[in-house]
This record gives sequence, structure tokens and C-alpha cells, in this order.
Amino acid sequence: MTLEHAVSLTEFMETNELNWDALYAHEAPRIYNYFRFRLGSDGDVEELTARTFEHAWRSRSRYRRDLAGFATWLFKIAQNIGTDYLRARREHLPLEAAVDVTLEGTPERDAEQRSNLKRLALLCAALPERERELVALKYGAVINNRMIAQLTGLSESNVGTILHRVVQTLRDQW
Amino acid sequence: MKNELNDDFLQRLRAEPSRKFLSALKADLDRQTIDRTRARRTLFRTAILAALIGGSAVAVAFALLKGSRPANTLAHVVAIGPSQSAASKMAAERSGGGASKTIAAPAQGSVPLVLGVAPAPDTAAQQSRVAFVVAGPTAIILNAQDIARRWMPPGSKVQPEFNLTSSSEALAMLCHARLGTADPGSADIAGASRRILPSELETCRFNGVTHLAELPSGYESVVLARSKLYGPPKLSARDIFLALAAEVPDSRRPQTLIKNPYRTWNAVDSALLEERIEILGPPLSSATAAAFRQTLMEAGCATFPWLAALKQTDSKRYEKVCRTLREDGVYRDRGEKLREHLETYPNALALLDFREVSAQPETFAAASIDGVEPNIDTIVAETYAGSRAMFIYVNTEHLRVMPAMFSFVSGYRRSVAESWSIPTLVAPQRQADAAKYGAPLQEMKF
Repeated sequence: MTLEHAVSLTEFMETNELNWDALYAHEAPRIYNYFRFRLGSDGDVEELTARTFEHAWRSRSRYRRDLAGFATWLFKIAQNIGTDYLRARREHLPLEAAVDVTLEGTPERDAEQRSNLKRLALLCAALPERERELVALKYGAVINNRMIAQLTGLSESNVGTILHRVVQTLRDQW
Repeated sequence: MKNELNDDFLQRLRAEPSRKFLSALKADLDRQTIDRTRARRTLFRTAILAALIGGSAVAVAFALLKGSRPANTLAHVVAIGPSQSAASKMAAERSGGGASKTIAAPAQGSVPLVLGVAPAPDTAAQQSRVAFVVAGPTAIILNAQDIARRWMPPGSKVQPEFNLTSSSEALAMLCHARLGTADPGSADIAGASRRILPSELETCRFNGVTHLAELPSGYESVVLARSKLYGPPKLSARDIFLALAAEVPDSRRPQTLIKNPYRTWNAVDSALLEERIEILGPPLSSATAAAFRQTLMEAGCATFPWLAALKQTDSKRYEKVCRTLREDGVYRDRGEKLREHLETYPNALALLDFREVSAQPETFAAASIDGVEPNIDTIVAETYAGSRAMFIYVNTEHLRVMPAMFSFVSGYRRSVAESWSIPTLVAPQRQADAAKYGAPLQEMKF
């Protein structure tokens, strides 16, 4: 038995022609949660998720798979949209004003989750911008350190070290 | 409360976006796709029309200057229109409807976003399916169920169906699978505690299943351990089989099986202590117990050549003899106070998953088997008898046309690579092995 062309799962989909349906189903929850963690609430998360996909859709003809994986490209768009949004929001609203959560699910679980997310957001607010971004990418989007490194320009080991330290800090303050 | 904040806790703060939102956004994107296509088509038609008019004008002007009859030339130019249109139509028919037709054609009440996926008939067949099938042994299925809960997109119409079966049966189901059939005996994903055999690949090829990918899924490893207070036991696979099998070879009558008479370890092997055999373990239906029967028990069983030969001549009997645990109380449920029990009784051994033992080195001392200690190196090197490599095989032809299956496989890979959600498998705990699990998906050629 011989093994042929090695490609990642996403790349596999791409080399076998982009299946946007599959990519949408796979990436939408990740982008959504990236923004939840980035904002610390559900307010405007849907709006930013929609904006990310609309932007990606509009510019998909410009996407070059030889330069980046689809997910990396999509998250780069999400990062830019998130940064713009946060910059604009900082000029108008205090953090607490954004912590206004509406979730679906059982009331008890949602209440607990809301409370924890809000608490996390308040703790993260004291962290440097870069560390907040790492937390959102790692735990919101659930992407691996290698891809986080590609998105942030840090080395993979540096990502791991910073995240370890951040979680330690959060745990101490929790 | 302090200790609560860890990776798992943080990931539990994730929430699924509402189905309503996902559907609405997708519909918006679909609409944009169609609008863009229409706009592009309109632009293209306008350009063609402008070129025709421009060309006609030039031709007329040229004819007038030359003094020839312009009407014929004009008629000739105009006549090109229908023939081009027919050619386009034929090209569209050859390509199964053409790109623009695929985009505009509604599927199950919605416009597909898929651009240039698998041929339309296959896609339609897949869309009519409501499930993809994952078949395999216990550890794979338990993990797969967990992963489906965690990673499948909300509101997905296509859900996985799980079929608990042996590795051989799972691979047979995979190899009989065909696109678009509702054959209940087929699987889209097969889990196995071994690599697929060349003969099985041949069956796949014969049945038209020619696009497969192999995903290493870690190692399923079990250990027998006792309290750290008494140090690690030294056992052989043969000791374990003789201590725990329902039937064992009669020492006085070769090739005859008798009900297991052994009650003490020294009766099994005179080199061992005169201690009561007592094994505490999980329910027999658990993945750990299944792995124990198929690794340590079988390894011990195979030390009797005539029993090992049954595997070829009478596989059902082989499985019954080698994998059936005695039910006379020697093996019993571990209960809630396992640690206390092991500390109280030096003879008591616990059947545990390797990860459980390695996570509590201050509590358990794992038995070496035939001189080999269970650790990540001996497991990966496959020298430890209580371990086996696990794989899943994916029909990649189906993967391409089933977004839900794509999400599942993607989640599965991530879970294996990151190891945080695999309850029974030994995931890559050595840096050197990480690349193997995080490695790109490989499609097999056979």
C-alpha cells in the first residue's frame, strides 16, 4: 500500500474543490465563539460573525490557498473585523455596557455560563490586548497553537507559554 | 472554585450559535452568490452584445467602403448568435448542468452554496441520506459519540449513526459502502484496533470504494495495578489468562478445557505468592474491559499453541475461549472505594485504563507484563501486551459531499491530536508523536 498526496483536512477539501457548505458549517461556530470570547458577551457577536462571512464571501475569489489555509484566512478577516469593532466601541462604551448576554438553552445552564463568561471578560479586561486575543483564539475558536502562531506572528512555543501563564493568572484571580 | 478554571472549563464557556442565526446568515450568503452570478452573467451578455454590434458596424462600414452588399454580411454575423448559444447549452449539458445552473438550482428548498462539488447525481443521493454511519469497536464508538455531541454543527440534518461491532466487521461494512445506497450493512467511517489488511483493501476496490483515508487514533491501553504501597506486580500474559478466563486448559489433559479452578496466584504459577486472585474492574461492557479481553487475555491465550491455532480454524471458538471472563466473583465491579480497597488488600488488583494509572502515580503501581512495564514508550513501540493501536478509516468520497461528516472527522482529528476529549485512548503524549496525529489527512492509494 502506498500513500499519496498529504494534505490537511481543510486543504483536502480545498484541493478537491472548495465545499463552502462544509466550510461554513465547520467554521461558523468557531468564528461565533471567537467573537464571544473576544467581546466577553453575546451582544453584537452575531453581527460580527455575519460581517466576517459576508466579507469572506465577497472576497473569496481573491483567496489564495497557496498563501494560507482557508481557516487561517477566515480568522484573519475575523481578527480585523474584531479589532475595528473594539476600537470603535472603546470610544463610546465602557466594557460593562457590552456585557449584556442573551443565550439560548436551559435557563440554569445559561445563567451559569453567562455569569462565568462575564466574569472571565472582566478578568480578561485587565490583560494586555495580545493575551486577550490568544484566549479568544484558543478557547473560543478552539484552534491549535500552530494556527494561533500563524495568526499572531508569535512562535508556537511562545503561544503555549503565554497561554499557560494567562490561564494561571486567570485561575489565581478567579 | 479556584481550581475550576482550566482548559476544559474555559472551553465549556463556548456556546452554539442559534440555528435561526446560522440559517439566516447562510440564506443571505446564498442570495449574494446568486446575485453575483447574475450580475456577472449580465455583464458578460452585455459585453458580447456590444462586441456583436460593434463588429457588425465595422463590417457594414467595411462593406460599404468596398461597395459590396452589407445585408448578407449582417445576416451572416447575426447568424452566429444562435450557434454560439447552442454550443454553450451543449457545454452546460456536458458539465451536468453548468456552474450557473448548479448555483441557481434549489436543493431541498434552499439554494446550495456548493460551488463545483461532486457530480450532481451523487450530491443529490447524499443529500437524501439522513445519516452517515460510524462502525467500530467500543472505544471508537464511545469516543465518536462524544465527538459528535461536541463537534457536529447544530441543526444538522445529517446525523451520525453508530454501529458497535468488531474491527473486521466495521471494515467489511466500509468496503461494501456505496454512494447513495441505503444498504444497512455499509459504513462511511470504520474504526479498527488494527490497520486495514491488503485483502480488505482489495474488497473495497472490488466494490468501488476507492477513496479512503487512514487516521491514527492513538492507543487503547489497559493495565492491572495495585496500591502503590505494595509496589508493582510482575505478571505474564499467561498468568492473567489462567487467572481470569472462564475456561482454561486442563494441566493433566492437554487440549481439553475445564472450568477455571484457580483461586490463588501460586496455583496459576508456582513462582507467584499464595494470594487470593481478586481483580476489580469496570463493567464488562466497558471499553476498558473489552480492550482487556482483546489484548492481555488474548496474549495469554495465544501462549497455548493449540488455542492460538483456533484463530485460523475456528475463530468463533477462539474468541469464546480467549475472551470470556470468569463469572464466579474473582473479577468484580471496582466499586466506589477502589483506592481504599487496594490499600487494604495487597492481593487485590485493579483493571484500569492506562491514562487513569499514569495520572495517579502516587496511588497505583502498574503491573509489568512479561517484563515490560506499561509506559508511553512501550505502548508506542507496541511491546506492551496490554495495548493496541487504533485507527479510523474514512470514505473520503462521502466526506466531500457530506458537510456533517466533514465536521465530524475534523472534530475527531482535533480531539485525538489535542487529547483532551479522548476518554479511553492514549493520545500522543510524546512530542515526537504529535506530528503523527496532527499530520495532514492522507488519502490511501490502492
